[in-house]
Amino acid sequence: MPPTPLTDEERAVYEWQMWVPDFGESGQEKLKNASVMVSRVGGVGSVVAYELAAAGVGKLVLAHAGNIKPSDLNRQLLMTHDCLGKPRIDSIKRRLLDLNPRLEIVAVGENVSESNAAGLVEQCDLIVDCAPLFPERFAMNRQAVLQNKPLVECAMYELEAHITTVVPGKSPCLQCIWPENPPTWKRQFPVFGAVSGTVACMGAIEAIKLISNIGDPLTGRLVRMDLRDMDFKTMKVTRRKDCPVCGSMGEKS
Amino acid sequence: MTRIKLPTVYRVYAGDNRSVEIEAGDVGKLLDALTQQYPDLKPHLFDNDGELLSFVNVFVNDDNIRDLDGNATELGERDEVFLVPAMAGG
Repeated sequence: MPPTPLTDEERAVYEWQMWVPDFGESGQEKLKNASVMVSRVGGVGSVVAYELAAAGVGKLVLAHAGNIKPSDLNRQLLMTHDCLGKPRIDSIKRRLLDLNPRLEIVAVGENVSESNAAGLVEQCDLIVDCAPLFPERFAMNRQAVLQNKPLVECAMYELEAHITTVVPGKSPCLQCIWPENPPTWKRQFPVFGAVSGTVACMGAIEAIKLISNIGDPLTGRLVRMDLRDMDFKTMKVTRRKDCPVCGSMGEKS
Repeated sequence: MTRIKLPTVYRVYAGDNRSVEIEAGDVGKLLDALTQQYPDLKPHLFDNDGELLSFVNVFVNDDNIRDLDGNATELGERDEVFLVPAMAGG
């Protein structure tokens, strides 16, 4: 199917980002015709989804369970005080459409699991994973590899964060880097919204770069940042031949 | 002296230090010295057989020791070592 061209309204809304010379109108068209899955739309995922909605990504597939609690409100920027006790996914959808009414949203009021991951990944071109539990991340990673879709991994703890981009067959997958989860990892962790939001904005720009084919994505590179002292370090990460998820895939150029 | 940068989750086991400087010829000796100095850190880095836990990556500067010589990776004075365990906060 040929890509849908921009309308005059969209040209007006996205004018300033289309001034990025290697992005331009063709980059904006690519965003309009793209679909991004965000796994959990919480501290990190709220800001990823908001930035992608603002940038004009055409379709978002969003998965997040539960009702809004007071303790969500320091970081989950798509949740609002007046909706305490109501489903998070409804608030997420409403706030995104307030910003961008042209956005197509597939809103799923459940978290990613082995049983729903395949169907969610089928509906998108790429994934930004922002889930707080390793089983969810491992399920997404496995489906990204199986369906050959890029996966941006954003994670944080306290004032520290990691980000890397998985392009199956080309760069290490999540389980090449961390084959197993730490048994001591808990769903609840210390977090400032400004830290989850920092890595979220980096994840959003990775998604925008991958879709519009500008810049160099974080394939084969892991950025580890400690905002306590603003220490940023980019490390090389490599595939494992014995990776249970992607080890059998050939090397892509 | 080689500087070891500690992730947030390990600092509580290492005197709340963000980094530690230790003199050692290679990564294995460095991690031995680190866990002797801070014994509470040991179960968070090694399994009962003394193998590095699978969810912990050790980097010398930009490179994972898996891609270098593992524990035998030699260290110079200006090298920095990073301990990078998995995290999933979202």
